[in-house]
Amino acid sequence: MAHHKTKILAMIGMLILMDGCSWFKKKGRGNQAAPRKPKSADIRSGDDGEPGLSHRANVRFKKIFLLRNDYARALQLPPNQLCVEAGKDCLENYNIVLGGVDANLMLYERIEKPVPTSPIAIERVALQACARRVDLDFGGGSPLIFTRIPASSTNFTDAHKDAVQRLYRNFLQRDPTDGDYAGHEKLLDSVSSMVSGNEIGKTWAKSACWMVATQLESVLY
Amino acid sequence: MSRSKKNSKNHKRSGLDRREVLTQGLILAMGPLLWSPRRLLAAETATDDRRFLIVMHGSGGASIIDSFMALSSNEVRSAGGDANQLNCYEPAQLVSFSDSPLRAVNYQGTIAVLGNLKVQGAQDAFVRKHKQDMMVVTTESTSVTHTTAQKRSVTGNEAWSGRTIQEVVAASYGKGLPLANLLLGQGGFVEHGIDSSLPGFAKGILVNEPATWSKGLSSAYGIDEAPSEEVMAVAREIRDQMLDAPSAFYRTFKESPVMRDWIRARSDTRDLFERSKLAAGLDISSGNANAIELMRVFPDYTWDPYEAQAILACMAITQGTTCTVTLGPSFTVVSKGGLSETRNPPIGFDFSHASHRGVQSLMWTRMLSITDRMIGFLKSKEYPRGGSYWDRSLAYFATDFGRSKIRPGAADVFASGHHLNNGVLVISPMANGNKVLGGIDPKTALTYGFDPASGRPDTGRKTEEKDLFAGLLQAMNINTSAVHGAPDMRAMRRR
Repeated sequence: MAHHKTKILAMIGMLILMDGCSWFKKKGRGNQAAPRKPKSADIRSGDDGEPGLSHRANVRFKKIFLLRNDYARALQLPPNQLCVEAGKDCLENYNIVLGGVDANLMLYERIEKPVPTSPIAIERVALQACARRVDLDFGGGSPLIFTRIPASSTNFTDAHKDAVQRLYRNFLQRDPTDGDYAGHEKLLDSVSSMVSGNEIGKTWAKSACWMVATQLESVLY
Repeated sequence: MSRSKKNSKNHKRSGLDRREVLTQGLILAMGPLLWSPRRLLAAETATDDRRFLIVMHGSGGASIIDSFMALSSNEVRSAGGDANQLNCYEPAQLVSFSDSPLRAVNYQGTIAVLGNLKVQGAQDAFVRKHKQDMMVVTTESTSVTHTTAQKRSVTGNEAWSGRTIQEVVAASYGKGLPLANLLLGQGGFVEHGIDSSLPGFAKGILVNEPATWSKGLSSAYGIDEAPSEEVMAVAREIRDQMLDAPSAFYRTFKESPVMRDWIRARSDTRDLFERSKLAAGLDISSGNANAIELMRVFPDYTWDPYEAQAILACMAITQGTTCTVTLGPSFTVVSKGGLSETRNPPIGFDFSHASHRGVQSLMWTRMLSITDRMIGFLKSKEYPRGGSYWDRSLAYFATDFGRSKIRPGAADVFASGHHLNNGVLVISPMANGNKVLGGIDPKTALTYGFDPASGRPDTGRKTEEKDLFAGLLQAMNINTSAVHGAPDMRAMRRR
């Protein structure tokens, strides 16, 4: 009986020791043991709060189907008409570098990491898709993103701001920060000095749309 | 670096101007990386003594006994074999040459399952024209599964830490080239190797649509509705500096390798491509002076992807962008019209399962025709250091495996299966041309190996995948000491 009691006491002692060790371990971490402030709110709202640096980031690039769907939804265009080259959906031309597969070529494993031409292909798709949206919005009818943008104004008007806000909400699901607005205003300044009067609004719209569509936040996740 | 050290570093930075911190962050993210094109461009002039590897793949099993090592029925009978049961040809179907050990099959027939497609094989014309550069190497591979066998045909069965032969050549001769290793083909022949120590610039670049792919080397080339280059440059700068750099997304995930790669590619790589005007230079269109001649040489490029591949391959080599190209017929049907105009049967050479001789003849003719035209073009283009591009090129006819050696009852039309035993064709001024290395047993139609030093046939030897791999690289003047156990394949080199 005494033998069993000794055993039980020894086990209880070990449990206390283990718990004590883990307490010291936690204590030794100092502030890091405290729950970290969730940063997602900062990231979503885009405020000036310093976001936490992720050391274990598992960032991926949007593969062809995700990219196509996101662009189509953001620009409210049919998914197979974002860009057309040589008479067909241009995304198909860059299928492999955009992480697609091709059974005809017996390539069944998609690339997980971008290759050097992946960002270039995406910039190309974005440029054509944005140009298509801008042409539709400036062509009369019912504009969806670029409404009432003056054709030749060099001032960053409320119409410009509204368009920027729609771009950010559609592509990034957040509102633009003050810094984002400043970037688009600077773009308008530059465009005004580079193109002739009636082309200012349209050129700004295409470039502004392309900037948002190809931002890191838009193509990586 | 410990977390506390990182925190203190960040704390020190807080005294700096915010933009400076962000700019430094971006520069750090881009970093001195393996495939930094600017670094490579600087080194370009140092490596102008290049060699070029053309991997011309025959998907599905290009059989050497239906081409340059074909047997005649008389030979089989003389050796005591059963000519009715062995895949051998009647003397009238075969061409031998007094000044060459190579054979040629001029098979004529039809392929019933392809709408009685007429086949008119004429391998002899190719041999007469190129025999001095043609070398046949007998082989014994290790897999009859297509993709596995294809991959092994370019890795020597993982002989060099899993690098492909294209990657080895690109690592040796591709420094400074923007598209060192261009993969235009299909299947296991264009898979990446598994050696993580491979320099980034040597990694293959896959092309799925050869006729239009080059446009994807530029963000705006050929897009009529694009803003001017100046406007795009400003937009790019604002995006990078004012939108991305301060964003919470970038600051949170900037340590991600994918993000670093992305930033590097859209800045350094894009700059290099734009500066080199690659998209315009490799564009297959009448607006590109470089392409016009090749569009005449390969006029069917609009509907035959193999011809488009050949145009892109020739342009890439002769414009100094590439040192190895991989191309070949695919497993997909290619036809301008109906079934009876088929140029590429379904599953390529592997359609021999349905009609062996007709398909072998059709596919060999197809590959030799493209090769002949590519050689002609490369011979006509002078390499900057003198001589032609062809003088520095080696075409390796990689294939999955051989085909079965038997036939039923002296049939001329029959089906075949996969077989490990085969041989491959190599064409190059650097190869030991006008040679058959190894031999064939006329009783079994099985090939055997050769002495690596003298090239003497040796019935007791087999040429393994790693031996062939090493021999090809040695012929291209590449040190193969990294290939464990591979002999010096002196017999495969001209000098």
